[in-house]
Amino acid sequence: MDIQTICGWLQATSLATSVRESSFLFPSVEALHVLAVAFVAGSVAVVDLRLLGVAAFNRSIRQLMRDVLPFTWGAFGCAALTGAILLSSAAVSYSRNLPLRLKMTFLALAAINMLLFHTTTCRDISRWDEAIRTPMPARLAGAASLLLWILIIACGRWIGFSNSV
Amino acid sequence: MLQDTTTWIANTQLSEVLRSVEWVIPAVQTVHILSISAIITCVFLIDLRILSLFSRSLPIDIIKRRLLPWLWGSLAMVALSGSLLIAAEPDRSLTNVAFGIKMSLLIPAVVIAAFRHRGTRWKEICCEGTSSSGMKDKFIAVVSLLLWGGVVFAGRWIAYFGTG
Repeated sequence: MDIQTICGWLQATSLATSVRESSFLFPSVEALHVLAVAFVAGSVAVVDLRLLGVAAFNRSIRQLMRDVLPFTWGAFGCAALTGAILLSSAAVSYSRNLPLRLKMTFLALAAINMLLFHTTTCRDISRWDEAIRTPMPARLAGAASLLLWILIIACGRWIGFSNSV
Repeated sequence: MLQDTTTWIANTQLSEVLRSVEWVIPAVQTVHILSISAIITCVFLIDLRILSLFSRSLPIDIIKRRLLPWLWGSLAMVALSGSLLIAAEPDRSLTNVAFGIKMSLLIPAVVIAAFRHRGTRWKEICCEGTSSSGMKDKFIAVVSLLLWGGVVFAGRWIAYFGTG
Protein backbone atom coordinates (compact mmCIF):
# COMPACT_ATOMS: atom_id res chain seq x y z
CA MET A 1 0.00 0.00 0.00
CA ASP A 2 1.56 3.29 -1.03
CA ILE A 3 1.43 6.58 0.80
CA GLN A 4 -1.20 8.08 -1.50
CA THR A 5 -3.59 5.21 -0.76
CA ILE A 6 -3.13 5.73 2.95
CA CYS A 7 -3.66 9.48 2.59
CA GLY A 8 -6.77 8.89 0.51
CA TRP A 9 -8.17 6.58 3.16
CA LEU A 10 -7.26 9.07 5.92
CA GLN A 11 -8.95 11.88 4.07
CA ALA A 12 -12.12 9.81 3.67
CA THR A 13 -12.55 9.11 7.40
CA SER A 14 -15.54 10.79 8.95
CA LEU A 15 -13.42 13.01 11.21
CA ALA A 16 -11.33 14.28 8.28
CA THR A 17 -14.44 14.84 6.22
CA SER A 18 -16.21 16.83 8.91
CA VAL A 19 -13.12 18.98 9.55
CA ARG A 20 -12.79 19.63 5.82
CA GLU A 21 -16.45 20.41 5.25
CA SER A 22 -17.17 22.47 8.35
CA SER A 23 -16.39 26.17 8.15
CA PHE A 24 -16.01 26.20 11.92
CA LEU A 25 -13.95 23.09 12.74
CA PHE A 26 -10.81 23.63 10.67
CA PRO A 27 -10.07 27.16 11.97
CA SER A 28 -10.83 26.11 15.55
CA VAL A 29 -8.58 23.06 15.48
CA GLU A 30 -5.95 25.21 13.76
CA ALA A 31 -6.21 27.89 16.45
CA LEU A 32 -5.67 25.23 19.14
CA HIS A 33 -2.71 23.92 17.14
CA VAL A 34 -1.14 27.40 16.98
CA LEU A 35 -1.68 27.91 20.71
CA ALA A 36 -0.12 24.53 21.56
CA VAL A 37 2.85 24.98 19.20
CA ALA A 38 3.43 28.49 20.56
CA PHE A 39 3.75 27.10 24.08
CA VAL A 40 5.91 24.15 23.00
CA ALA A 41 8.38 26.41 21.18
CA GLY A 42 8.38 29.02 23.93
CA SER A 43 8.88 26.59 26.79
CA VAL A 44 11.61 24.74 24.90
CA ALA A 45 13.25 28.15 24.41
CA VAL A 46 13.24 28.66 28.19
CA VAL A 47 15.51 25.61 28.54
CA ASP A 48 17.54 26.56 25.44
CA LEU A 49 18.22 30.06 26.77
CA ARG A 50 19.31 28.58 30.09
CA LEU A 51 21.72 26.25 28.28
CA LEU A 52 23.07 29.26 26.39
CA GLY A 53 23.54 31.15 29.65
CA VAL A 54 21.15 33.92 28.56
CA ALA A 55 18.30 33.47 31.04
CA ALA A 56 17.57 31.85 34.40
CA PHE A 57 21.30 31.23 34.72
CA ASN A 58 21.27 30.97 38.49
CA ARG A 59 18.81 28.09 38.32
CA SER A 60 19.78 24.43 38.28
CA ILE A 61 19.33 23.12 34.75
CA ARG A 62 17.95 19.80 35.96
CA GLN A 63 15.43 21.55 38.19
CA LEU A 64 14.41 23.90 35.37
CA MET A 65 13.88 20.95 33.02
CA ARG A 66 11.88 19.08 35.65
CA ASP A 67 9.68 22.15 36.14
CA VAL A 68 9.16 23.17 32.51
CA LEU A 69 9.29 20.05 30.34
CA PRO A 70 6.17 18.24 31.64
CA PHE A 71 4.13 21.23 30.42
CA THR A 72 6.04 21.19 27.14
CA TRP A 73 5.12 17.53 26.63
CA GLY A 74 1.49 18.18 27.49
CA ALA A 75 1.35 20.98 24.92
CA PHE A 76 3.24 18.83 22.41
CA GLY A 77 0.62 16.09 22.75
CA CYS A 78 -2.06 18.66 22.04
CA ALA A 79 -0.10 20.05 19.07
CA ALA A 80 0.48 16.58 17.61
CA LEU A 81 -3.17 15.59 17.97
CA THR A 82 -4.55 18.82 16.46
CA GLY A 83 -1.86 18.72 13.77
CA ALA A 84 -2.84 15.16 12.83
CA ILE A 85 -6.50 16.17 12.57
CA LEU A 86 -5.60 19.14 10.33
CA LEU A 87 -3.41 16.98 8.10
CA SER A 88 -6.02 14.25 7.77
CA SER A 89 -8.55 16.78 6.45
CA ALA A 90 -6.56 17.15 3.22
CA ALA A 91 -4.01 14.36 3.52
CA VAL A 92 -3.46 13.81 -0.21
CA SER A 93 -2.48 17.38 -1.04
CA TYR A 94 -0.56 17.86 2.24
CA SER A 95 1.53 14.77 1.48
CA ARG A 96 2.91 16.65 -1.53
CA ASN A 97 3.37 19.93 0.31
CA LEU A 98 6.98 21.16 0.45
CA PRO A 99 6.75 23.42 3.55
CA LEU A 100 5.08 20.57 5.43
CA ARG A 101 7.89 18.18 4.50
CA LEU A 102 10.44 20.75 5.63
CA LYS A 103 8.55 21.30 8.88
CA MET A 104 8.54 17.56 9.61
CA THR A 105 12.24 17.34 8.75
CA PHE A 106 13.07 20.14 11.18
CA LEU A 107 10.84 18.50 13.79
CA ALA A 108 12.73 15.22 13.36
CA LEU A 109 16.05 17.09 13.67
CA ALA A 110 14.78 18.77 16.86
CA ALA A 111 13.90 15.32 18.21
CA ILE A 112 17.35 13.94 17.37
CA ASN A 113 18.97 17.00 18.94
CA MET A 114 16.91 16.47 22.10
CA LEU A 115 17.72 12.74 22.27
CA LEU A 116 21.44 13.39 21.81
CA PHE A 117 21.35 16.03 24.50
CA HIS A 118 19.53 13.88 27.03
CA THR A 119 21.40 10.64 26.36
CA THR A 120 24.92 11.94 25.74
CA THR A 121 25.50 15.55 26.78
CA CYS A 122 23.54 15.19 30.02
CA ARG A 123 25.58 12.24 31.21
CA ASP A 124 27.85 14.48 33.26
CA ILE A 125 25.25 17.17 33.97
CA SER A 126 25.94 17.01 37.71
CA ARG A 127 29.23 18.79 36.96
CA TRP A 128 27.65 21.77 35.18
CA ASP A 129 24.07 21.69 36.44
CA GLU A 130 24.49 24.98 38.33
CA ALA A 131 27.05 26.56 36.01
CA ILE A 132 26.28 29.71 34.02
CA ARG A 133 28.71 28.69 31.31
CA THR A 134 27.66 25.22 30.20
CA PRO A 135 29.90 22.91 28.11
CA MET A 136 30.05 23.53 24.37
CA PRO A 137 27.84 20.51 23.41
CA ALA A 138 25.10 21.79 25.73
CA ARG A 139 25.28 25.29 24.25
CA LEU A 140 25.23 23.88 20.74
CA ALA A 141 22.16 21.80 21.62
CA GLY A 142 20.44 24.94 22.95
CA ALA A 143 21.30 26.99 19.88
CA ALA A 144 20.25 24.21 17.48
CA SER A 145 16.95 23.77 19.28
CA LEU A 146 16.18 27.51 19.16
CA LEU A 147 16.95 27.65 15.45
CA LEU A 148 14.98 24.47 14.63
CA TRP A 149 11.85 25.66 16.44
CA ILE A 150 12.00 29.01 14.64
CA LEU A 151 12.20 27.09 11.34
CA ILE A 152 9.34 24.77 12.38
CA ILE A 153 7.07 27.76 13.05
CA ALA A 154 8.16 29.53 9.86
CA CYS A 155 7.41 26.42 7.78
CA GLY A 156 4.11 25.97 9.59
CA ARG A 157 3.06 29.48 8.62
CA TRP A 158 4.31 28.87 5.09
CA ILE A 159 1.99 25.84 4.71
CA GLY A 160 -0.97 28.21 4.88
CA PHE A 161 0.34 30.14 1.89
CA SER A 162 1.23 27.12 -0.21
CA ASN A 163 -1.47 24.46 0.04
CA SER A 164 -4.27 24.75 -2.45
CA VAL A 165 -6.79 22.06 -1.66
CA MET B 1 -15.14 56.34 8.06
CA LEU B 2 -13.32 53.13 8.92
CA GLN B 3 -13.43 52.28 5.25
CA ASP B 4 -11.81 55.64 4.43
CA THR B 5 -9.07 54.89 6.94
CA THR B 6 -8.33 51.44 5.53
CA THR B 7 -8.31 52.83 1.99
CA TRP B 8 -5.93 55.58 3.07
CA ILE B 9 -3.60 53.09 4.79
CA ALA B 10 -3.70 50.73 1.81
CA ASN B 11 -2.62 53.58 -0.45
CA THR B 12 0.43 54.57 1.59
CA GLN B 13 3.83 53.77 0.22
CA LEU B 14 4.66 51.45 3.13
CA SER B 15 1.55 49.39 2.48
CA GLU B 16 2.35 49.09 -1.20
CA VAL B 17 5.93 48.06 -0.53
CA LEU B 18 4.85 45.42 2.01
CA ARG B 19 2.40 43.93 -0.47
CA SER B 20 4.67 44.10 -3.47
CA VAL B 21 7.15 41.48 -2.26
CA GLU B 22 5.52 38.08 -2.02
CA TRP B 23 7.38 36.71 1.01
CA VAL B 24 7.16 39.79 3.22
CA ILE B 25 3.71 39.12 4.72
CA PRO B 26 4.41 35.44 5.60
CA ALA B 27 7.78 36.49 7.06
CA VAL B 28 6.24 39.23 9.21
CA GLN B 29 3.50 36.81 10.28
CA THR B 30 6.20 34.35 11.34
CA VAL B 31 7.89 37.02 13.48
CA HIS B 32 4.43 37.84 14.87
CA ILE B 33 3.78 34.21 15.84
CA LEU B 34 7.26 33.74 17.32
CA SER B 35 6.69 36.81 19.50
CA ILE B 36 3.26 35.51 20.50
CA SER B 37 4.96 32.24 21.39
CA ALA B 38 7.25 34.08 23.82
CA ILE B 39 4.32 36.01 25.31
CA ILE B 40 2.14 32.93 25.74
CA THR B 41 4.99 31.07 27.41
CA CYS B 42 5.76 33.89 29.86
CA VAL B 43 2.11 34.46 30.72
CA PHE B 44 1.20 30.79 31.04
CA LEU B 45 4.21 30.00 33.24
CA ILE B 46 3.39 32.92 35.55
CA ASP B 47 -0.27 31.90 35.67
CA LEU B 48 0.60 28.25 36.28
CA ARG B 49 2.98 29.30 39.07
CA ILE B 50 0.26 31.41 40.70
CA LEU B 51 -2.03 28.39 40.44
CA SER B 52 0.72 26.38 42.21
CA LEU B 53 1.09 24.06 39.23
CA PHE B 54 4.54 25.17 38.05
CA SER B 55 7.91 25.48 39.80
CA ARG B 56 6.52 25.57 43.33
CA SER B 57 10.01 25.68 44.80
CA LEU B 58 10.56 29.21 43.43
CA PRO B 59 8.78 32.24 44.91
CA ILE B 60 6.17 33.81 42.62
CA ASP B 61 7.99 37.15 42.59
CA ILE B 62 11.17 35.61 41.22
CA ILE B 63 9.26 33.92 38.40
CA LYS B 64 7.58 37.24 37.59
CA ARG B 65 10.81 39.18 37.73
CA ARG B 66 12.43 36.73 35.31
CA LEU B 67 9.61 36.41 32.83
CA LEU B 68 7.98 39.85 32.71
CA PRO B 69 10.88 41.63 30.95
CA TRP B 70 10.66 39.00 28.20
CA LEU B 71 6.92 39.54 28.09
CA TRP B 72 7.25 43.30 27.50
CA GLY B 73 10.00 42.81 24.94
CA SER B 74 7.87 40.30 23.05
CA LEU B 75 4.83 42.54 23.33
CA ALA B 76 6.80 45.30 21.60
CA MET B 77 7.73 42.86 18.81
CA VAL B 78 4.11 41.75 18.48
CA ALA B 79 2.91 45.35 18.30
CA LEU B 80 5.50 46.20 15.66
CA SER B 81 4.91 43.13 13.48
CA GLY B 82 1.15 43.45 13.98
CA SER B 83 1.23 47.09 12.90
CA LEU B 84 3.12 46.13 9.75
CA LEU B 85 0.52 43.47 8.98
CA ILE B 86 -2.28 46.01 9.43
CA ALA B 87 -0.40 48.50 7.27
CA ALA B 88 0.02 45.88 4.54
CA GLU B 89 -3.57 44.67 4.50
CA PRO B 90 -5.78 47.07 6.50
CA ASP B 91 -8.95 45.57 5.06
CA ARG B 92 -8.00 42.12 6.32
CA SER B 93 -7.91 43.25 9.96
CA LEU B 94 -9.40 46.62 10.85
CA THR B 95 -12.87 45.78 9.57
CA ASN B 96 -12.69 42.16 10.72
CA VAL B 97 -14.94 40.94 13.57
CA ALA B 98 -12.30 38.44 14.78
CA PHE B 99 -9.73 41.26 14.92
CA GLY B 100 -12.12 43.32 17.04
CA ILE B 101 -12.60 40.40 19.43
CA LYS B 102 -8.84 39.83 19.57
CA MET B 103 -8.17 43.45 20.53
CA SER B 104 -10.98 43.43 23.10
CA LEU B 105 -9.44 40.40 24.80
CA LEU B 106 -5.91 41.76 24.46
CA ILE B 107 -6.56 44.96 26.42
CA PRO B 108 -7.62 43.32 29.73
CA ALA B 109 -4.93 40.66 29.25
CA VAL B 110 -2.21 43.33 29.03
CA VAL B 111 -3.72 45.24 31.96
CA ILE B 112 -3.42 42.11 34.12
CA ALA B 113 0.21 41.68 33.03
CA ALA B 114 0.94 45.35 33.77
CA PHE B 115 -0.47 45.04 37.28
CA ARG B 116 1.82 42.11 37.91
CA HIS B 117 4.79 44.18 36.91
CA ARG B 118 4.17 46.57 39.76
CA GLY B 119 5.47 43.75 41.88
CA THR B 120 5.85 44.84 45.43
CA ARG B 121 2.46 46.29 46.10
CA TRP B 122 0.87 43.38 44.31
CA LYS B 123 2.96 41.07 46.44
CA GLU B 124 1.93 42.70 49.68
CA ILE B 125 -1.72 42.53 48.79
CA CYS B 126 -2.01 39.13 47.19
CA CYS B 127 1.04 36.97 47.49
CA GLU B 128 1.87 36.93 51.15
CA GLY B 129 4.98 34.89 51.72
CA THR B 130 5.26 34.82 47.91
CA SER B 131 5.20 31.02 47.75
CA SER B 132 1.45 30.69 47.57
CA SER B 133 -1.31 32.99 46.43
CA GLY B 134 -4.88 33.72 47.46
CA MET B 135 -8.09 32.84 45.71
CA LYS B 136 -8.31 36.28 44.12
CA ASP B 137 -4.90 35.86 42.52
CA LYS B 138 -5.72 32.36 41.36
CA PHE B 139 -8.95 33.59 39.83
CA ILE B 140 -7.07 36.35 37.97
CA ALA B 141 -4.55 33.75 36.76
CA VAL B 142 -7.36 31.67 35.25
CA VAL B 143 -8.85 34.78 33.63
CA SER B 144 -5.41 35.66 32.24
CA LEU B 145 -4.98 32.14 30.78
CA LEU B 146 -8.39 32.32 29.13
CA LEU B 147 -7.85 35.85 27.80
CA TRP B 148 -4.51 35.04 26.16
CA GLY B 149 -5.85 31.76 24.82
CA GLY B 150 -8.73 33.77 23.38
CA VAL B 151 -6.34 36.30 21.83
CA VAL B 152 -4.53 33.54 19.92
CA PHE B 153 -7.81 31.87 18.99
CA ALA B 154 -9.39 35.05 17.67
CA GLY B 155 -6.11 35.94 15.96
CA ARG B 156 -6.16 32.75 13.92
CA TRP B 157 -9.81 33.32 13.06
CA ILE B 158 -8.96 36.66 11.38
CA ALA B 159 -7.94 34.66 8.33
CA TYR B 160 -11.39 33.08 8.10
CA PHE B 161 -13.73 35.94 8.88
CA GLY B 162 -14.99 37.91 5.94
CA THR B 163 -14.50 41.63 6.23
CA GLY B 164 -17.46 43.64 7.41
